[in-house]
Amino acid sequence: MSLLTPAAFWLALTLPAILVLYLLKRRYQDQTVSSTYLWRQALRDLEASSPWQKLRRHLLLYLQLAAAALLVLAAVRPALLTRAPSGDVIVVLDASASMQATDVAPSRFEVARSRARALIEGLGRSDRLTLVTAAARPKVLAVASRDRAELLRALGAAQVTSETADLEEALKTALASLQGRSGQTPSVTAVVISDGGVAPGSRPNWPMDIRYERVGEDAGNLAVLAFSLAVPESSPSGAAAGATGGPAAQLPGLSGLVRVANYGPSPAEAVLDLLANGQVVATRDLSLAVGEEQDLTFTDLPLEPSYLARIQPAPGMQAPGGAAPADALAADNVAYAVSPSADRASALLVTSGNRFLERAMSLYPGLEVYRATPDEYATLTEPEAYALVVFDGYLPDRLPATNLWLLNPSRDNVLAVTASRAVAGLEAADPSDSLLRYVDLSGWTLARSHRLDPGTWARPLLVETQGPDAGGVLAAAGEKDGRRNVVWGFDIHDSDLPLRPAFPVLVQNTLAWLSPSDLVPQGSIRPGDLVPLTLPAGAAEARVVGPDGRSTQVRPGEPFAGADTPGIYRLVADGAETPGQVSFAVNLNTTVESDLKPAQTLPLAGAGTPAAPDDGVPEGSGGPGPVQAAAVGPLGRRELWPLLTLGALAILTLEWWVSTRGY
Amino acid sequence: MAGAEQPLFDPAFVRRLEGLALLTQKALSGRYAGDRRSPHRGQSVEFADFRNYVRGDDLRLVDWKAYGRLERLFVKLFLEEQDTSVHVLIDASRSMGWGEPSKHWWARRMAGGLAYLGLRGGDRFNLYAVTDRLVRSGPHRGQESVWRIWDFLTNLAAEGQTDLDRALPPFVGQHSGQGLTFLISDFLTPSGWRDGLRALQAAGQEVAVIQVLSPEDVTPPLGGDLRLIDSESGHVQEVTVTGPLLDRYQQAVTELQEELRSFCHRRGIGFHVWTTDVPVEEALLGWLPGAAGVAASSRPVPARGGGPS
Repeated sequence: MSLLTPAAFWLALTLPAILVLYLLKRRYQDQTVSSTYLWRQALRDLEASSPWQKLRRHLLLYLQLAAAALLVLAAVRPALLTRAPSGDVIVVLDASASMQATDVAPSRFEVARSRARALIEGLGRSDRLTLVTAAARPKVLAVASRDRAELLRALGAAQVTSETADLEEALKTALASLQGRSGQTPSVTAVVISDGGVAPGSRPNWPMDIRYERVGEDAGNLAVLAFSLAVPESSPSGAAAGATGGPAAQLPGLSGLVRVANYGPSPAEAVLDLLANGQVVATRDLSLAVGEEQDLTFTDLPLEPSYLARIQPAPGMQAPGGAAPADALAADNVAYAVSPSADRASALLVTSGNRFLERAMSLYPGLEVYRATPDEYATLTEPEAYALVVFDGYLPDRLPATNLWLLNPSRDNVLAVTASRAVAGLEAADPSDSLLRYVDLSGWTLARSHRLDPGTWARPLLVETQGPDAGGVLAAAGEKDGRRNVVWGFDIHDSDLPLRPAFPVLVQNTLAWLSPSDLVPQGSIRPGDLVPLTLPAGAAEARVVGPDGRSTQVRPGEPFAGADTPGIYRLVADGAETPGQVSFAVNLNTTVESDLKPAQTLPLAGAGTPAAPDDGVPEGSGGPGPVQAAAVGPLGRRELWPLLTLGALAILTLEWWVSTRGY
Repeated sequence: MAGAEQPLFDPAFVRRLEGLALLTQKALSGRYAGDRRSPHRGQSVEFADFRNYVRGDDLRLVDWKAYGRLERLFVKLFLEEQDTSVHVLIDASRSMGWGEPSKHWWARRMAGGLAYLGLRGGDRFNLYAVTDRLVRSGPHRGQESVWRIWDFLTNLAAEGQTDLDRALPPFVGQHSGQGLTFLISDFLTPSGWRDGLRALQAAGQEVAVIQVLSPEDVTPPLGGDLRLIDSESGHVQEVTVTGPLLDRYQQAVTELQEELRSFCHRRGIGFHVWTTDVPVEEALLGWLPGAAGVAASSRPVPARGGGPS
């Protein structure tokens, strides 16, 4: 029990005031009667027959006092504490996709929202509340606010997403916001309103008490866990002979792999459809046992750019007795997949003979490598058709307007070069450079190399460590005019590089960076992920068209941050060629979101007290074990003033009745 | 309260009394007590019996004719002549001065009416104002005396306290023999009335008790928080007049009347209750003429404002 506005106790002065008024009013009027004899007798009789008569004489006074006392009590707003956090409170609202589940009406997120509302409304006068939604990226809606209206407004603006909640990030962000606003705060309580389906965290110690307020029930759910399309290998990968050969390959039908699951408490009959362009291309009837996952393969699918896999409960299959719905979460009933690029990007290697490089390049998937001698190159009319041209020890008079990889350039090209000189030692200019990832440079020996001037747009990759030219740049990379360039100032034959395990890795990194097939990432992209995009060569900017038709501008070097709903996204660069893959699919993180069974614990490595009700001692050092779900019950304070006011109203009604009855 | 009241004895009242007297014809005392033979032997013209002479007998009563024949002395006995008198005792305490019209006014008018009727019937008439003592006017005889009585009544003020038990016993010493005694009071006296009534009866009188109450006494038009001041004793009682208290008060009034009624009934005392909203002549008419007995004409207290039907 606590009083939220104890200051209102001064209203208790009304009680003596009523008493005084009553006494003033209770001036007896003098009335002469012929005799008081019978009156005395009547009074005596009355008091003898009803002992509370003395009380009844002041019944109205007592009723008024009681009503006033109740109103005063209502004004001080007594509240029953029901595990109410106080002080600085962080409310983390799980906005992940699983919170869209409708196993609790209207949805888990709305239930969470109403619990948060209860918390806000139960906030004491000195308590401050920080409101954060946890999704892929946390969203701070209010920081250390005492203003309930503002908090409720912020709460109303909270939106559920299709993302996976990063609870740890949300807690960190909220704590940082709070401390940024008000410095070190002694006692912080975080209330996580979630179904527990969040990304696991690793931070061991939290300087606050974390309570887990669980929402949701164990509900049935059918899900498409994964969906991918593949092009069957038609020809052995490798360097295709023939410099002029076009990158055209006759592909057979696509094959698709779909993994579906039944997370429900009962077996389910379901139908899986594959759709392309809105048309059902393939369908399959399923019978899924409890907790069963099935892999379905489809072959000879038409060559459509994208597919949609959709699972639905079989017609007529409804949850018995209207219990948990057979499929509480609709968002994971569909999965999208993009057909692998029909035409792989092509690269042209211009060399008079470099087996090492040729071999290493042919290992790179998604790239058709063509080889030409310098003489053959001179006859090519359109070298720009290749997404990448590699010049090994040769420079044409005019460099093609495409991505370039220059090895051992004998003269100034995209970069200025010096004459080739001996190299004493080398090291990575920036070991974290993506081109040097997983590349072990130790023990490299390089006999000679040109020195490069990286100019303003390129970054050094390898630099010389010793000798008179210490600091000289041996290799550099950079983007210029929308095209990517990598320059190695040495012939690989002048080093032991090709013999080292690092060589193919370095080549893969380089090709990966240069390859136009890398315009969009492959593999699974989750809602809320930052999607690294590579703009087509020559495009200064492009836009991404989402599944809802909304288009977002993207600039070179910036990831795309708008992939927040599942669906097919398409990269469009006006006026520039967009070879390779330009579409990508965003799918729900079903491994975390689809199993709707609410977790008993939050997957945090360690946190404060496991939500012991009314345990007001925060264990900032972090207790052992995960955060347990709190017992189900009303959260916050339960205010008593409505009851008290009703009681006062009842007493006033009684008083009116008594008054009209003349007691 | 006895302010601008109706005159006590106006001509209209006198005319009605006249009518009443014509209706009743007989003397008030006869009406009440004289229809049967007086048990007392005395001097009168009507012979009753003989008895042997004993020494000390009035020689005038000796039947000399019988002595002449029988030579024995006999004394003639006669029925005593009814020398009846009417006594009206009127409570003149301050409590009677309450009500509209006041009980005092009503009681005096009733006493005046009784005086008129009694004197007209040839009775001797005595009027007493009762407080805690007796103030006598009378005896009166002859119809012309009524003006003296009425003057006395007109000048009689309601003051002092009633104490019937103290005031009435001396009445016994002043009167004996036949008579009719009326006691008019509100009986709102905490000191009691039983001994007083017993004393009246001990005087050998026929007694009739008239309780007069104002309608306000029966159903007080009161409510709220009041300091009730006893008009007689000045005693102050603070009350919060509520519905149940009023009910209880009326019950107390009824109880008082029932007490009086049963007391009187057991002792053969006539008992009547009137409220002042009933005209005096109507009250007189209600029970004087043709009434077979005293008790038969007594009636319960009418509800407030009600009169005899």
